[in-house]
Amino acid sequence: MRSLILIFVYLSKDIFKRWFETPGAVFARVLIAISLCLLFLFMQAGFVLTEKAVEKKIESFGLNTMILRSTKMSKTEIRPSLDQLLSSLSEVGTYLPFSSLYVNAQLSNEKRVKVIIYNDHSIPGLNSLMGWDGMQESVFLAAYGYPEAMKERVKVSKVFFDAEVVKPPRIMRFISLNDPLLFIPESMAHGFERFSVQESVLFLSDDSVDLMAIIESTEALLKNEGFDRYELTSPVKWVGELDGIREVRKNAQAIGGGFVGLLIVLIFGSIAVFEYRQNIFATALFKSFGLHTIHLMARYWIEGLVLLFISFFGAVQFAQVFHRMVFKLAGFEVELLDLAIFNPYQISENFFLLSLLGVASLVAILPICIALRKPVGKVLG
Amino acid sequence: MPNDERIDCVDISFRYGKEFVFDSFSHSFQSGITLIKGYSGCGKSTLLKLIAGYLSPQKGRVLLPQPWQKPSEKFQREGLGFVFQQLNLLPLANLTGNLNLVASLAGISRTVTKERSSDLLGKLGLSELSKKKPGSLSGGQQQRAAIARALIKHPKVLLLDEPTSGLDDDNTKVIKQLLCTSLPQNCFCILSSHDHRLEDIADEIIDFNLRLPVERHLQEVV
Repeated sequence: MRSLILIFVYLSKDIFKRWFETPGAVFARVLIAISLCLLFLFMQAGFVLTEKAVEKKIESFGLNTMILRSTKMSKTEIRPSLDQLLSSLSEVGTYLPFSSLYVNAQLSNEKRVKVIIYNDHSIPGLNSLMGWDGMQESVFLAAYGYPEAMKERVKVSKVFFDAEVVKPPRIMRFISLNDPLLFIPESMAHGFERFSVQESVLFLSDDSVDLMAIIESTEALLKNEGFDRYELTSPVKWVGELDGIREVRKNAQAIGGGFVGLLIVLIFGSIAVFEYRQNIFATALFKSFGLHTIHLMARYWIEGLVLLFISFFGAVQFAQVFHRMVFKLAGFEVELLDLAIFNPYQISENFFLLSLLGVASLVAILPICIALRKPVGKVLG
Repeated sequence: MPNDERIDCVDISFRYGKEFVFDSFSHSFQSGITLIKGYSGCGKSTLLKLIAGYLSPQKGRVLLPQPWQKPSEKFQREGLGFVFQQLNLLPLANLTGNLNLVASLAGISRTVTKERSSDLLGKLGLSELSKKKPGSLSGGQQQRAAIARALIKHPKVLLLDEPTSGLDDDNTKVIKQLLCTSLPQNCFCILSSHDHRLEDIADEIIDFNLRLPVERHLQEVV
């Protein structure tokens, strides 16, 4: 035991002496390891933020929502409209068929807004979404930030309407994020046919209904009816997307981790070999005393391990400090991840990286293990 | 069979690259001081390293006294004292540290180490320098310290490779005196040297020059 302590003290002295003699070699190792760890940590946090964004999207639209869009058929095309095909959906949920013009309406403040044309079949759906008892056909502007019930004069092409401002339900964001929408009944939209339009259906299924089955049968129906240009969006599908992101995260972790490990092995390994060569006589002298080579290997392993752990903890600190800045610059919604609630930089979340560093530090000393096999008699004169 | 009385080199062959240094060399070393002398490159140091286990023979074997039988790490830790021609001391430890480390590896208690250390350093005139690092010592002082380090564990086998090379008469005298008076009982002390000043303390002298072919003798003379 005493000999182990003396050896440990001597070898530690040796390590510190080298660090003070060649601080560049230490800084290079730490800096590279910190950068690699930071990249890895930010990559993980990026995935977490992406997952959170998708989760938020799902949450805000609700899992029971589906929106279907298709360009309206041309005069030469012969096929039913989406409304004709899917009107039976009104029996199993909130059904809102509508058309949108490719021309925008202009508000009194010159702001341009999207125009939605609704028909009789849309009214029950609008009633349900807006929380109205029984609406009359009217022009209204669904907009945030405008006083409710205010009359707003809007212009579509050359026609003026007085639209009543209403507060849009959250689900309307599915159609146009936070921008206002001008709703015009079909009966008042004559003359707008010349603007090509997109037909859409917004559907919120009842709780008892399997939306995924409806989506599948709708897609089959559309294919049958010759719809080749349509877009069907539903948060139900994003759940699968979420699983996809998690799968990609796992793969990225493995590939990124392998890349980080490989670079660390190469850099730490080559510097360790360089230092071993400088120190070869003292090492051989130790061996000549009958010291087992495992102690000498441990010296290089522990040195690498200490530097890597310092780098890891440094990277964790840096990552937390620069998290906001980095992800804001990268265009992420940083608020989605509150580090006080879930911190992807915590040590407990990064055992994979830690163990990877441990393994890399071990592999990095392989060349030294081989060099240590050289007989003492061939080193010392 | 290894025994307590001698070190046997049995039919040893060893070569660096293609050139043989030893080809079926056999010899039995008795306890006491053996001096191996010969021209540079004749294999004196190589033989010491083979006995110590720092090199492995390509053929043949080295048989050590009991309990070691053959060179091993345990033998190097407990039963062997080796003094190299140069680079003998750990540069980051002072003289006492160098001695303590080797003694602790040999399993010698701290009290015994302290006693032996002060005795050896005193006999070698190094007491004043016990806290000095090797870098601040002269060549002669370093060589004497290396001998002290080799002797601190009272080794059964003491191998000294050119212990007095480059040393003045005074330093050589101190080392000779130590070897004559402080060797443990039944110790096998083998010196490799071409220093004639050491011949008078040797119990046996092996002249490697006699192994030379005539042509090599002539080359050496030229």
